[in-house]
Amino acid sequence: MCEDCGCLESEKKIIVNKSVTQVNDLLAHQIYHNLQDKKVICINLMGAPGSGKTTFIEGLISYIPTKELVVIQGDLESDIDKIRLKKLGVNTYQINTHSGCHLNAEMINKALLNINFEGKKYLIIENVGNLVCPAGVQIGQHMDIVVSSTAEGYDKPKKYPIIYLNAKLIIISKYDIKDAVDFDEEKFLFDIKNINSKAKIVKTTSKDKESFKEAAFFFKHQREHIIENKHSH
Amino acid sequence: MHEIGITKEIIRILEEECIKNNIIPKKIKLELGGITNYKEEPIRYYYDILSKGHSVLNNSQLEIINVKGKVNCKDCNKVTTIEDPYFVHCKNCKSFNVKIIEGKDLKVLEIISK
Repeated sequence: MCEDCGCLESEKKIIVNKSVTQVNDLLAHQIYHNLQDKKVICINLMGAPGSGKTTFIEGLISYIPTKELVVIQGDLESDIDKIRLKKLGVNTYQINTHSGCHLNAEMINKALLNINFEGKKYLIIENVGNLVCPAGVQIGQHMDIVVSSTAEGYDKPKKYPIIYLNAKLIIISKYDIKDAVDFDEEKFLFDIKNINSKAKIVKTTSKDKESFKEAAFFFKHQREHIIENKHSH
Repeated sequence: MHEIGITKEIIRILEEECIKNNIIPKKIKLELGGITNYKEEPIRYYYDILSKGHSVLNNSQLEIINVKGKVNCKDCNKVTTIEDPYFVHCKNCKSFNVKIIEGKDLKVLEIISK
């Protein structure tokens, strides 16, 4: 028996030293640059189930022409959200993960092969509804945004800080019912500031189309910034 | 459920390496970083299920080496360890403006053959 590691001398040891997470991250890196070259900004839209992610996209198209937008929808099952968006003229591709709790770079890469980006400026990836698992998973996005509804309560940032940490934009959705659900806006904003002082905060109400204007213009501006900074990543 | 995807990826790497080196694995050494968001027990659970009856990986065992997360703070310049993977911040000055220097990987280190 070998005195160093205890192996039997007839055994063979192969040094692999391969990062499992790196496979995903390398592919995500390629997707990032691929979309940047196409002048398409890629937005990773995250939030709890029912927070209002699809509604957010529906609101955006009052200010972003549908011919400039493509959406990748991520859900465990069904194409409910794809049908919803297609009815409004949004080019939408559905990914069903079946048991997967978040999207990964391989899934996005496969989806991109089926998308025609001619005339497109915005790709919104609506991630699987989940405040835990999608956080920090690279899928080729240029920015992360989180939809956090008043109905979920003010304490989500404190309980699930990772997903809020890198978000460039945080949408407080269902703002019109904030009093009915006792949403403590002051506490929410205070906790967000402690986790991520740089995030832009926008309040939206699905019935008020104008409440989506600020987010749409933010994306327009961010897209220009991403395309100009082709060499920084 | 969260670890099923990453365990499938581990298996894909092992299949590739075992076929390339023409070996049947007995033991596999993995390094599990503390900031990866993956836990040891579910990886073992899914590995047991997915390797059972596998033409190459059947009866192989995982040895998982846990590596604590370490960050270098850009504000106070100190290197501190991470206790909670969901709270990646400087233990010294509580800043979130940190660079992860250790523990953000899940790696296949070695394969020991039969």
